[in-house]
Amino acid sequence: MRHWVVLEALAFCRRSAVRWLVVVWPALILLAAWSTEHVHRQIEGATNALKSDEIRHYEGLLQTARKLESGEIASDSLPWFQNPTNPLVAGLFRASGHHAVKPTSDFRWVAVGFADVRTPVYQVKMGRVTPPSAITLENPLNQALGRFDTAFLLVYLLPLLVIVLGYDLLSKDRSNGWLDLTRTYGQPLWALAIARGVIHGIFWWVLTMSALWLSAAWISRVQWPLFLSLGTAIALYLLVFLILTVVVNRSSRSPVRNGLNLVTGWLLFLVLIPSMANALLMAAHPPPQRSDDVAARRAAEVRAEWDVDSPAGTAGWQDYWLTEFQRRALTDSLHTVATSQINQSMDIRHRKARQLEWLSPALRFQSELLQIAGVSAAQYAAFDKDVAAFESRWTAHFLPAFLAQRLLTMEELARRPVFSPP
Amino acid sequence: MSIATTVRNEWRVWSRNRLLSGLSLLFLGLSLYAGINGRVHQERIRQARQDAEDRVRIAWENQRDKNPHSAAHFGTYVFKPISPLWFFDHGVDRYVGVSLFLEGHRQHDLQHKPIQDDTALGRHNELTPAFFLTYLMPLLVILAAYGSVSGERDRQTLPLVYSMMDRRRWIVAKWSASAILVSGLVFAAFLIQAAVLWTTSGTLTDLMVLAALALVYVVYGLVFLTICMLVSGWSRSTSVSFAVSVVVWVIASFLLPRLVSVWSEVRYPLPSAHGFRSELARDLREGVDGHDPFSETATRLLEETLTQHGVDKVEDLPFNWSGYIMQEGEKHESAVYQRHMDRLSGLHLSQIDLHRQLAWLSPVGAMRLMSMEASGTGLRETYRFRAEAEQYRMRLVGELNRDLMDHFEYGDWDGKRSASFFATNVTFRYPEADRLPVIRAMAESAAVLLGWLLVQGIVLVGVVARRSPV
Repeated sequence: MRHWVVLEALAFCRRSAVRWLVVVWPALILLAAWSTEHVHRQIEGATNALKSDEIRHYEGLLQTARKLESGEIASDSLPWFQNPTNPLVAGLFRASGHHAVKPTSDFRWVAVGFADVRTPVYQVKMGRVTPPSAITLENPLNQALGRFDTAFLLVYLLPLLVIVLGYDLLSKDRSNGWLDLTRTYGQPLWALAIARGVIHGIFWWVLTMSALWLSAAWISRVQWPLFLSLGTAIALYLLVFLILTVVVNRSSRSPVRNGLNLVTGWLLFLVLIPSMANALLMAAHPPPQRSDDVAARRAAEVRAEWDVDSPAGTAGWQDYWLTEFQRRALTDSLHTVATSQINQSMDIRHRKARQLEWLSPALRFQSELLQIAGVSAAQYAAFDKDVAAFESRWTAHFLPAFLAQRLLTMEELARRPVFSPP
Repeated sequence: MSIATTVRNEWRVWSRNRLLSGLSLLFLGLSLYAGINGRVHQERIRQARQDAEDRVRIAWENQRDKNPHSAAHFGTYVFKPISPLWFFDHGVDRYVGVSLFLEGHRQHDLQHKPIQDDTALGRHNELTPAFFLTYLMPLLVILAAYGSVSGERDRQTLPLVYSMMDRRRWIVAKWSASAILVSGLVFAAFLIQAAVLWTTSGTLTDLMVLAALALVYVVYGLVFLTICMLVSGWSRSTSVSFAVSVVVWVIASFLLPRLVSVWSEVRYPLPSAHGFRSELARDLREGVDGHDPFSETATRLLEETLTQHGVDKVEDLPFNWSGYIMQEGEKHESAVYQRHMDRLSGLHLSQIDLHRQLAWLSPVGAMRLMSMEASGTGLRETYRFRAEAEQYRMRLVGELNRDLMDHFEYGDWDGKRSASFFATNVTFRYPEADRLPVIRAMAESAAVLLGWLLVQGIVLVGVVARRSPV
C-alpha cells in the first residue's frame, strides 16, 4: 500500500505541468503579495504624512504656548484666533485635531479588500469627524477591473489550478484502461481516488503555504497565529475543490465531461453565485442612497440656520462660535433619523451578506482572508464606530473650557486625547 | 463536400447538444434578467438623485438671509446624473462619488462612493449585460468550438475529412458555422438590451451606440472563437483543447487585466495624495487670496486697479473692492485647481490608454473599457461631470461676487441677501454628452480587434491546416 502511494506521488511529480507550477505559482504569489503590500504602503505613506503634519502643528502650538507662559510673547499681542491656549484654536481651527488611524494587520499583504475604498484615517475635531479628501489618487478604473492581490490568486486561481491538474484524476486512466489494471492489484477505487486527491491536496497546500511563508518573511514577519489561520482556511478551501474533483471523477467517464463539470462548478462558486448573491441582496435590501442623505443633511442645516438666531453684528467671537455649536447640534439632531435609517439599513445588509456568504465556499474563504488582512467591511465599520466614540472624548477635552470662556492650561494642551482602538 | 454542407453538419451536431442549447438559453435569460434588474436600479438611482438635486436647490433658495459671500461658503451640491445605458454597464460609477460640494475658493472631490456602502459581495463582478457578454459569452464560444478540430482528431476522422475537402476550406467552414452562432448569440442579447433601453429615457443616439457596441462584441466573440479553434487545432485531444481554452479564458479575463492595472500604476505612477495637496496649496499661495487683502499679490492688484481707475483710495473705486478681490482670487484658485486636476486626469488617462494598447495581450480589458465608455459610465464621463460642475461653480460664485461688487459698500459685511435673490441664482444643467467621440473610439478599438482577428485567421488557416491530422 505504502509503495503504491509513493509511486502515485512520483507519477504526479513527473507531470510537466507540475514542474512548471512549482516555479510559476510561488512567483505569482510573491508578485501578488508585493502588489498588495504596495497598495497598503501608499495608504500608510499618506496617513503617516498626515500624522507628521499633526505633530508639527502641535509642536508649533506648544512652542507658542510656552513663550506666552514665559512672557516671551505678550498675550495681548496675539489675536484670539492665533492663541494656542484658546480651546477653539487647539481643538478645532485649521490643522488642529487628531488623526485617528486604523491599525493594520501584519498580514495586510494577503488582501486589499476595502482598504482602497474605505478611509483608514479621520481627522477628529471638536464636534466633527472629517475624512481626508483622498488618501490615494488611485485610478477608479483599476479598482473596477479588480485587484491583483494575494486573495485574488488564492480565491480564483487556486481552485482552477486544482481542477486543471485534477480533472482527469481517474478518468484518464479509466479511458485508456489503466484503471482496470491498477484495480487488479487489489486497490479499491475509492482508495485510489482518495490517495490521488490527498497527493494533490498536499502538493497544493505545501506549495501555496511555502510561497505565503516566503511572502510573510519578505514583506513583514511571520506571525504564527495568523499564519496558522491562513493555513487552515486554505486547507479547508482546497478540501472543498478536491472533494468536488474526486466526486466528479468517480461519477463521470470522460476527462472532457469531468473538465466541463468542474469548470461549471468553478464558474458557479466563483463567478455566478457571488454575482447572483449580490444581485439578490441589492434587490431585497437596496443600499442607501447617499444623495438622499446629503439632501436631508442640507435641509437640516437650513432649518438649524433659521431656528438658532445669529448673534448681533457687534457680538464677540465666543457668541459666534456658541451659535455655530448650537446650530451643529441642532443639525445633527434633525439629521439623526436619516442617519439611523442608513445605519440600520447598512447593518441589515451586512448581516444578510454574511448569511449569503455560505452559498459559496469562495465567498466564505474570501471573507476569512479579508479578516486576516484586517481589511473587511466589518473591521472598517468597527473603526468608524471607535472614531465616533473618540470624537466625544476629544470634544469633552476642549468644549468645557470654551463654554467656561477660559484658556487651556499647558497641561491640557500637551495631554490631548489620543486615539487608541480597543 | 462544400462549406455549406459542413456548416449544416456542425449546426446539426449543436442542435443535438443539450448542454450547449441549455447554456445558450440560460445566457440569454440571465442577460434579460441583468438588463431588467439594472433598469430597476437605474430608475431608483435616477429618481433619488433628481429628488436630491431638487431638495438641495430648495435648501439653497430658502437659506437664511446672509451676505452673498457667506452664501458662497454655505455652498450647494450637485449630483452625478445617471446615463441611460447605465443598466448595460455600471462602469466605474461605484468607484467614484455621487455628490459634489460646490463652494467659494475651492474644488472638492466627488463624495460618497457607492462601493463604500457595499458589502464584501459587492467587490465581485456585477451582474450586468456587459458582464455576461464580456466574460461568459467567450465561455459559450469555448464550449461550441473546443472540439472543432481536436474532436475529429480524437475520433480519428480528421484524415477522412481532409481527404474529402480542402483543409483550408474545411477550417473556414468550421469557423463560419461557429461565427454564425456567436453573432446570433450577441445580436439576440443586444436585441434584449435594446428592448430594455426602450423602457428608459434612452434616445435614438443611445440605440445607435448600442448597435455599434453589438458589432464590436461580435468581433470580440470571433477573436475568442479563433483563439479556441487555434488551440483545438494544435491540441492532440479534446480534453487538452478544453483545458487550455479555459485556462486562456481565465488568464485573459481575470489575470491579465489585473496585471495590466499593476503595470499601468508602475508605468505611470501617481503622486501621493499628500504631495498633490501640498503642491496645490503652494501654488494657491502664489496668487490672490480673496480672504487676505494684505498679501503681496493682493496689494499689487490693488495698486494696479487704483491706477487703472485713477483713484487713490479703495473706497473711491466704482465697485466694492472686496467683491472684486474675491472674484480675482476665484479665477486664480480655479486655474490652479484645474492645472493640477488636469495633470492627475492626464496620468489616469495614460493608464487607461495602456489598457487599450495592451488589448493584443487580452481583449477583455479593452472590451470592458469600450463598454464603459459607450454606456457613459467610464472615467471620461466622470471628468466631464467634474468640468461641468466646476463651470457651474464659477458661474454661481461669480454671480455672488458680482452682487457683492455692485450692490454692497466696501466693508459692508453685515449686508444681506434674502430668498428672493437666491431664487434667481443660476441652476445646474448637465448637457448631454457628445457620443460621436465614443463611436469613433469604438471604431478604433474594433479596428484593433479586427487586426487581431485577421492575424489569428491567417495563423489558423495557414498553420493549423498544415498540422498532421493524426
